[in-house]
Amino acid sequence: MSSGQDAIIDWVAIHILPHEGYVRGWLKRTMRQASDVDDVIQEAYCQIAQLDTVAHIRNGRAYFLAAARSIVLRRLRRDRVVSIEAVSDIDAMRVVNDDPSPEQVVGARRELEQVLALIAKLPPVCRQVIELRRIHGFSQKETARRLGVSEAVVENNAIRGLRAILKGLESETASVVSPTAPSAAERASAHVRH
Amino acid sequence: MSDIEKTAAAWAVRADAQALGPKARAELEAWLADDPRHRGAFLRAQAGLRLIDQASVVKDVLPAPERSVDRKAYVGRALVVAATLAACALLLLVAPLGDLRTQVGEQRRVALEDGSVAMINTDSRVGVKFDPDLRHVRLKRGEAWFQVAKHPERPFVVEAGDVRVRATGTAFSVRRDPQGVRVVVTEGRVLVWREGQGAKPVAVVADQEAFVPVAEDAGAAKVQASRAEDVLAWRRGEIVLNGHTLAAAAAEFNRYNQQKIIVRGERAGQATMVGYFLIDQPSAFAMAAARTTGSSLREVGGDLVIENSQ
Repeated sequence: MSSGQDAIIDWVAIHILPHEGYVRGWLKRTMRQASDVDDVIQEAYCQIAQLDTVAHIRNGRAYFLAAARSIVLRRLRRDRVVSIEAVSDIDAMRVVNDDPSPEQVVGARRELEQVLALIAKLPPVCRQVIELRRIHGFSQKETARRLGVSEAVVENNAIRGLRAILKGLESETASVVSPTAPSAAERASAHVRH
Repeated sequence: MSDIEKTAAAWAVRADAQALGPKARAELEAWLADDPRHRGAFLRAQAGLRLIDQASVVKDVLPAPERSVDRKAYVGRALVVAATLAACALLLLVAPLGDLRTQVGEQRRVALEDGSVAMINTDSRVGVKFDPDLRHVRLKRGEAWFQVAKHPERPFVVEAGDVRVRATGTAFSVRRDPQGVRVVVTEGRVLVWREGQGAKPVAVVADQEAFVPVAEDAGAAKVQASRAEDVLAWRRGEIVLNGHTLAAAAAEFNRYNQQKIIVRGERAGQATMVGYFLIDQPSAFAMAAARTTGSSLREVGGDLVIENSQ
């Protein structure tokens, strides 16, 4: 794996994934079909995967939201998949606060608590595998030995745990930023910078 | 989404557990090439694993379990971690005028009586003295960012050694190093000059920075364009590296952490680094740096030593 790719994975982990619930919340309010939300999110990740560098992006949440918004607009023009009332809301969302507020600074810490809470909710074996593998850094083999199960069981539980945590991050309350839409002040004072 | 998501998670876990063999690698590449959505889903799953790794902070307070983990104790400890982190997070304090200090790794956000805000970075000392006609701040050591409330008749002047920065209503940071004073402007305009030399003030505007070397014969303030948001990423608890050498990046982390990063070997030290890192996780950075430079990483006496393998 190249170091550029590696930096992008790190960046997505810290600056994109924790905001997925927030972006999904906005999409849910603007689109009728729940399946459309999944499609837009999937396409946004697809765009990010094509980036060579993320050094020019200052604010992951703003970038993620702007990407989702442009995908919604493109679909709207293309095949009217999206309900028409989306448009007014989209205009309202044109602006995204780009300055780190104290809430966002603290929010960066909150993501850790969020992930810990999601790990704590996993079924027992699954949770033990995630803790031993990810938090304590044991190899798959060592994890299997400690739990007295086969490596295949460890792998399956790691996959299950990862999926459950990703699923948990989809919910809006899991987002690191306050779950409400941007405030009027946020809309008025801010702008997207590139 | 579910099938793609399921396969992506499986590949992310497999690729993470061990280096994929040629056959598995070809299989993964074929799957990624099969549908443009696959690459996005794979990236998301890999990022999910990294995000879980971020939770490794608890490793310091949680002993490795031999058998099972008591759920209650786990949550309790997680709360302790959360509380500690909250305590380390920026505190909003009301105008304790006089001397403001931060320890290594500490950052403080201070509301000043005139409505301005000072954000004080690690290992710094700031003196504040407000008069009716002048707001005077002395940066004795370290770095601070100021969001200055507009009072045109009451200038806001920061003193850093013999360097002065003057603003009326704007936002900027001042950093004092042994080599000189660096002023980065995020909003509006400030004037920068060296006291007592008859040197003319230079104007520095948003997204510019000025550097005034300590040695007087090294000349006056030099102004240049700045990636101000990157330079000031510390306000979000981040370090943004954009072609810094590993040696410079290590020095930057060492400003914030008791656990120091030591780089041995010139080749490793000169390698350039790009990326976003959390300021309080030097080990995560050291691991990434060792990996990208092909160096070894060891813990020696609590510090992190990165060394060329050959």
